[in-house]
Amino acid sequence: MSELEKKIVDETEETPGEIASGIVAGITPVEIVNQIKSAFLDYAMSVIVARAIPDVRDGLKPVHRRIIFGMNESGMTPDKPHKKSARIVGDVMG
Amino acid sequence: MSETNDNNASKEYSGKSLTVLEGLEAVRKRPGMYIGTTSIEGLHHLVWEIVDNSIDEALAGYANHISIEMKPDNVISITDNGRGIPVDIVEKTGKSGVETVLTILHAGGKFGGENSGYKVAGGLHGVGATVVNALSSWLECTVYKEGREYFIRFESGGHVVAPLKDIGPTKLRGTKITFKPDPTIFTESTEFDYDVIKDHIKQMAFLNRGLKISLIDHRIEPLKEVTFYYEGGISEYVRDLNKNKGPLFTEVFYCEGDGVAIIPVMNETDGSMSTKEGRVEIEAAVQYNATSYESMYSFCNNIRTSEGGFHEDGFMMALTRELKNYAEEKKNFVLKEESNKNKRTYSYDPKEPFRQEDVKEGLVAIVSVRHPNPQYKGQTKNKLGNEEVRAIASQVIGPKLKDFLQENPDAASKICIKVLNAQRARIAADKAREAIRKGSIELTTLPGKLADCSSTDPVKCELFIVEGNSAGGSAKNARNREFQAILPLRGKILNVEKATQEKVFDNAEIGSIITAIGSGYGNIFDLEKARYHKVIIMTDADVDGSHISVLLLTLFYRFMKPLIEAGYIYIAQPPLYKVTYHQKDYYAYNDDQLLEIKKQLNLKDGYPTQRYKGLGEMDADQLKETTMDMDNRKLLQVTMERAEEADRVFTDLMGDEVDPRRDFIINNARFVKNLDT
Repeated sequence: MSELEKKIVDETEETPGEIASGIVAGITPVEIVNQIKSAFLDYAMSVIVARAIPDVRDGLKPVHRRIIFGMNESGMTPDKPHKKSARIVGDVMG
Repeated sequence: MSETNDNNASKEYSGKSLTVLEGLEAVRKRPGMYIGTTSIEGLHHLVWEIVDNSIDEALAGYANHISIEMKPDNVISITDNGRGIPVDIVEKTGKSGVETVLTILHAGGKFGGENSGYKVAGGLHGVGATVVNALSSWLECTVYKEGREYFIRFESGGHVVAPLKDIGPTKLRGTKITFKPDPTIFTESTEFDYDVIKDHIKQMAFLNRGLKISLIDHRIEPLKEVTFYYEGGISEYVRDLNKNKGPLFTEVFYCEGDGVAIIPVMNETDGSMSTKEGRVEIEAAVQYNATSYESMYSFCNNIRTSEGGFHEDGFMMALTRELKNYAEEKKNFVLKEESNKNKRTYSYDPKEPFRQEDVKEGLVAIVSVRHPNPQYKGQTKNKLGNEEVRAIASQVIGPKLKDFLQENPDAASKICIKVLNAQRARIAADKAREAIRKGSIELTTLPGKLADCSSTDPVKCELFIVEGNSAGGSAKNARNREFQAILPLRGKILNVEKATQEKVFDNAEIGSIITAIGSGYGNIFDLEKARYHKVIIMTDADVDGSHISVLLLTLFYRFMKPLIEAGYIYIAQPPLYKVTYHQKDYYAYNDDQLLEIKKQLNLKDGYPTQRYKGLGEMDADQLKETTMDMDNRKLLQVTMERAEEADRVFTDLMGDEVDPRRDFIINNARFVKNLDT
C-alpha cells in the first residue's frame, strides 16, 4: 500500500511559511479514496486497540475498567449507601 | 546506415530543428494543456499515453501483451509486442518514423485515411508520445522490427542525442519506451504509484478482452508483480464489481455488435472534406445486485465517459424497453424465499410502465463503445456526443437482451421483482412529496438546527457540518454570518451503505443535511439547486471525528455524488496543538510542526502544550482564527479521480460484507497514522 504510505508523507509535509503563529492557509486537494482509507483505518485500528478487545486477564474492556476504577476512587463499596448511576457517569466521562 | 547518410540526417535535423523545438518547448511551457495538470495525476498521465498507444496496437490486432516495469530513480518502461513504430524515413519530415512520432506534435498513424495504421484509437490528436518525450529528463525508445533492433535516445525534453541506430539482429517484436519524468516540470513529485497504475491497467485489461498487461515494481525488495488477463472481458468486469455486493443471480448478460456511423475524412492532397462510413463496435455486460444504487460505467475507446452520453442513453432505452415488454408478457412474478414458505406475488400493472430510474436500482452495467470518430462534450469533455450511437446501442442490445430474459427465466424474474419494488418505492415517494406540497406552502423547510447565513448567493456560501452541539455553539459564534452557515450533528450519523433506503430517509440527521444543502438526492439531484458551493466537514481531530467524516463522505458519495464531482466537499483542518509562550498562541497541525515551533521558540522539552481533543475545547475566537476564517484556514478539497476504486472502497469498508473490511485492516494495520490509546 504505497499509496497510503505516500499519503502519510504528504500530509506531514508542511509548506514552510509563517512559523510565527503556525497557521498556514490554503486548499489542498485530496483524493476521496485515500481520505476514506486513512480515516477509516485510524478509526478502525483505534477501536480495535483501545475499545473493542476485552483484556485476557479479566475480560474487562477499557470502558468497564474505567467505570470500576472510578467507583473504587470514590469509595463506592458494597457496604456504602446507594449512589445514582449519573454520578458515576459524570466521574468517568469528565 | 553509412557515415554520409548520418551526416545528412543530422544536417537536415539542424535545418528544421527550430520548428520542432518550438513545438516541444510549447508543451514544456504549458504542460497542463496536454496532460491536464503537473500533479501526481499528470505524472501518471504520461504512462497512460504510452500504454494507450500500445493498447491501440492491440486493438488493431497486432499485440497481445503489454508490460510495465517500474524502476528505481522514477524510471518507468513500457513494452509491447506489436508491430513496432515505423523506422523508415518519413517523407514529410525527413526523419525516421520513430523520431517523427516522438518529436513532432500531431504526427502519428491515427488520423484515419486510407493508409492509416489504425481503425480505432484512444488517441485523437497524435500528441501522446511526443508530449511524454517533451516532459521527460530522458527517453529511450527501442524498436524490434523485422528481425532488427533499433535504438534512439532523447534528453532534456526531447532533444535527440543521436538519430535512430540499427544495433543488430533480434528475435523480438514490438516497441519499448523507457523514460524518466522531468522533476523541473513535475515539481510536486515524480514518483509513480504502484496502486494507481495497477487500478488503471486492471481496467484496461477488462475492457480489452484477451489482452495481457503486467506490472512489475523493481523499486522494492522483494519486487511486486501482477498480471491482468481476462478471457471474459467486461463480463468478468461486472462480476468483479459485484463481488461483495450480493449479485441477484449468477449469469451475466453480455452482448456485442456493431453499426455504421458517417465520419468525415480529409483528402490528403487538397485538404477538402468528404464523408465515409465507419464501423462502430459496442459491447455491454449487465448484472443486478441487492443494493439500491446503480453502478454504471461507460467507455468510449477505452476512455471512461463519466458523464455518460448517447451510448448510455441507448443502453438505458433498450434495457427499460425490454424489461417492460418482458414484464407485460409474464405479468406475475413469484418471490420464493428459502427461509420461510411464504410466497409473495408481484404483479406488473400495465398502467404503470417501468421508467429508467426504476430499472437503475441495483444495476451493474458496463457499456463500451469503439468509435472511429468520437466527439466529446459536457463540462469536462467526458460525455459521448455522437448521436448515432444511441440508435446503434439500442438496436444491438435490445434483441440480445430479449433472448437473455427468455433463456434465463429465473434471473429475469428476479430482475423484474427488483424493478417492481423500486417502482413501488418511487410511486410512494412521489405521493409523499405531493402530500407535503399540498400541506404547506413552503416547499422545503430548513432544519431547525441549521444556523443559516444571510447571503443567498450559493457561490459565496459555505455550510459547516459540525460534530456535536458544543462545537456547533462555538462555531456559531466564530462564523461570519454573512456567508457561513452551521449545521450541528448529534453523534454519529447512519451508515447509509448498510441501511435500506427507507431507513435512510427516516433518519432525521440525514434529512436535515439533505434539506440544508437543498439540491435533493439520488435520481432527483440537481447541482444547480445547491445552496452552498462549499460544504465543509468539520469534525474533532480525534478518531471518532475521522469516523464521522467517513460516514458523511459515504452519504455524499451514495446520494449526492455530483457534489463530490463538482468539488464542493471540503474537510476542515483544525490544529492539533497549541503552545502558549509570552502570552502569544502558536498552533501546530501535526507533530512535526509542533517540534518545529518548539525549536524556533527555543523551548525546553517539558514545556506545556495543549493537545486539542475536540473542537469543543477551543473558544470561538480560536476556532475562527485557526479553522474557519477564510484568510487563515486550511481545507482539504475532496476530489474523485478513480470513480470505480472509490465505489469498491465504499462497498468494502462500509458495506455488509465483513471479510473485505477485515482484510483491509489486516493488510494496512502497519500504516495507521493516528492511534488513539
